[in-house]
Amino acid sequence: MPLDNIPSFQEIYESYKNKVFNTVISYLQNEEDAEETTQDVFVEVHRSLDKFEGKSSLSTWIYRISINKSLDFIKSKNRKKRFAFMSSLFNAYGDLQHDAPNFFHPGVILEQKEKSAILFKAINNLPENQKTAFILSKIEGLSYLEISEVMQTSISSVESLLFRAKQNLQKELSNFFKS
Amino acid sequence: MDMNKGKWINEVINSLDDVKSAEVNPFLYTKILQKISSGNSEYTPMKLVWLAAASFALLLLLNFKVIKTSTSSSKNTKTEVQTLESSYQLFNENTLNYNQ
Repeated sequence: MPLDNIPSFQEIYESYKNKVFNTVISYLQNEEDAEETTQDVFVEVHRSLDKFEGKSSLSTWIYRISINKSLDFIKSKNRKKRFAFMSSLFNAYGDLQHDAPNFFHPGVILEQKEKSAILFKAINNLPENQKTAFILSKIEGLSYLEISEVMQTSISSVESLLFRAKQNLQKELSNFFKS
Repeated sequence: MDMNKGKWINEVINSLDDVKSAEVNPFLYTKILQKISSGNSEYTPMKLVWLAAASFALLLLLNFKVIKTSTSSSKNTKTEVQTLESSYQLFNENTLNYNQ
């Protein structure tokens, strides 16, 4: 993209706000956290816009920032949990007290809310790369080519990641079905 | 049971197929602009980081030099004292010889 064709920050915000929010919320599975992280994404976009070299499309660049900020948030949250040794995470029966609540994506239709909540729990347990590939494909509807550009990998790697993600989800859901 | 399980798993995996895009809070842009103008960011400029690291390294170097200097000066003092002592003893021997 020619550098003199880069739109203004407000135009960028208007074009990408929902894309960013939907990507982030799929990772964080919490509206409040997703809103906070979406703000951080656009602050980063604003800060780095003059350094954008146009080697990739604007959309790819913004997706990468969204994914990195989401993963950073998750890592930061997990670090805080590890250091929360003052509060016991398990009750007397060994059950996890602070289990994440069900996440109901605001864009899912009513009939699918329960099933999608179960799916999001399973997505949460996927390895990072598989989670990214699955979210970008299934939720964002990106093509394999677009996903490979965002993840800076080959199309065959994307296919492999999606295949493994689906296998892992099936395994996880199978265990859930039994329980 | 297996067919039911398989069917259920597929339904769950496909439950996001028709997911619509969630809309952001209409006031989000204002919040973003506030964050940008307040400079409220976890980002620290690299120049500042390097400056802090260089200052710290200089401080360590200076402290090391001071410690080294004070150690070597105490060694010199010891040598001076020894020289003084040996001169004194020589002096004493001479005196003794003289008295004899």
